[in-house]
Amino acid sequence: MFRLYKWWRPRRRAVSEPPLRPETAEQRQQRERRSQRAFKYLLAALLLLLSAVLVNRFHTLRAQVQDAADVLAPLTELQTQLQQEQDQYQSLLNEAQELARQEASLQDQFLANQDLLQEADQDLGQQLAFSRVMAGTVEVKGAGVTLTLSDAEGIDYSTATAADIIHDQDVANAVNALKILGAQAIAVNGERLTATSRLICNGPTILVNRTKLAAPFVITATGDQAVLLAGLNENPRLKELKAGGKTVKIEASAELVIPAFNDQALIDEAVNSLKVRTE
Amino acid sequence: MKQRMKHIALNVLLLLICLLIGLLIALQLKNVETGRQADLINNASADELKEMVADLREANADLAEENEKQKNNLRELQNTQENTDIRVQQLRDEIQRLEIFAGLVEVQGSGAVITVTDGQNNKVDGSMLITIVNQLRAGGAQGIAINSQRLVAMSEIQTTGTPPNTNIVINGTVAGSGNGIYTIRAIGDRQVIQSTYDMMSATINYYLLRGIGVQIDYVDSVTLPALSADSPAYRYGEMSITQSD
Repeated sequence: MFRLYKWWRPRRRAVSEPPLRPETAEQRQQRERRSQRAFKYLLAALLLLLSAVLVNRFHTLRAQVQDAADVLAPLTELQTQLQQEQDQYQSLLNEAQELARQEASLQDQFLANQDLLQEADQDLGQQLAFSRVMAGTVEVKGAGVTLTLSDAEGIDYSTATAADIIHDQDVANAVNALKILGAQAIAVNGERLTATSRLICNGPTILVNRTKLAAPFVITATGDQAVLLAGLNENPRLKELKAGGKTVKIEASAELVIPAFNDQALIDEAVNSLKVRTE
Repeated sequence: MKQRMKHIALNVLLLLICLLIGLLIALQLKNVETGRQADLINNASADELKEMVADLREANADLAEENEKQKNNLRELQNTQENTDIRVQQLRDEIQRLEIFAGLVEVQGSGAVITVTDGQNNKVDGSMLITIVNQLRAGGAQGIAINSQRLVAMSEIQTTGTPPNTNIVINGTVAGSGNGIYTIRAIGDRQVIQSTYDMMSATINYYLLRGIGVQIDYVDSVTLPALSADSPAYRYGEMSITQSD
């Protein structure tokens, strides 16, 4: 380093520390030539380093582009497949809903014609309506509350810890709180909760019935609005979530529609494994 | 003078080159870092996507089959529209089916019985029961009861009172009359229930460490009571439902 300095700044040295003997012209020339040569070497070395870095950078860039393409190709393919399956699921679900509506309508038509029914069967319509409500296969409308739970706002998911996000337990507890408060019908992101509804963690999503839901979790419930609102506002677990920086929004909703549960396959699955005692 | 200028220019040039190299090296290091992260995220989501596609395929197959069944059902309904006896029987079957699903009928089946008991220092908390029940449902349990209370759509599990004098209230009734013994009965595929139960061993061990008793038995036959007639979990009559037209 010192030598470099010596080569590099000979002039200043000459000013601050004049040589004891005056330099001859030849010496001076020699010194300047040396200095120039040193500078050229340094420049060459730096340019070499620069080109090495550039080449390296080009290689990594190319590798990264290749990597990205390798990763992306199957991902894009999967995305397309997923989209197709999702579209199909939605259309099948719509079809199921339409079929269920048609069936209900046929049944109601038949029941409307009370003359056909014997006296013992006169209350069949009421029984049917009752069992539909209890099973959750009919849409419920009315006043209620909308509770939105979401992860802490603006968090960086690459560094987020378990404490920063909403878990299945949080949603399950909120749903349970609504049941304690006497909610009549509850849905999470539009998924109606029934007697067999699971609500569990599934990677970064929560599985409700058959549907994977991602935050924000919007829990809608009909019932006595004042009771539901007051109860949620006082709920210690929700307060805890809020204090932890998570989004907890409690809103009154005048006209809620809680969708019907129409997954007949899941109903059949349950009914097939639950045997009614015959004796 | 000319030489001096040249000297300064050279110095500046050198400075610029050094800066450029420094910048490039820094950029390089940073890229390696983010490249690594991007890879991780992409790998995770590829697996996830595969699983999502598989799940959806299964659901779609189920739904398609069910829709076919339903179409036949509708055709039959239309054909028998005039036959009152058949129609009444169909309606009774449908009502029965919905009531079984909703938990309004006593039912039997194979499944599991989990007994959760208060420890010496710690009592069972409602949230523990919620966790176990949720896990059972995840394991495909089709019907669940805790002690004498059948769990229906709007059944609550509430811890009441102040410690240590707490109780767990289910369907508006103190579960187990406050004896600290909670018998969770579930009907479903035993193997699936078993594998899901095994998956929650960390949670169960946590309860055990706190002195809570947790015992599971897989049984050939278990009976679940119907929702009791006076239960507050009935929420009918207070709500407006959308009539089909």
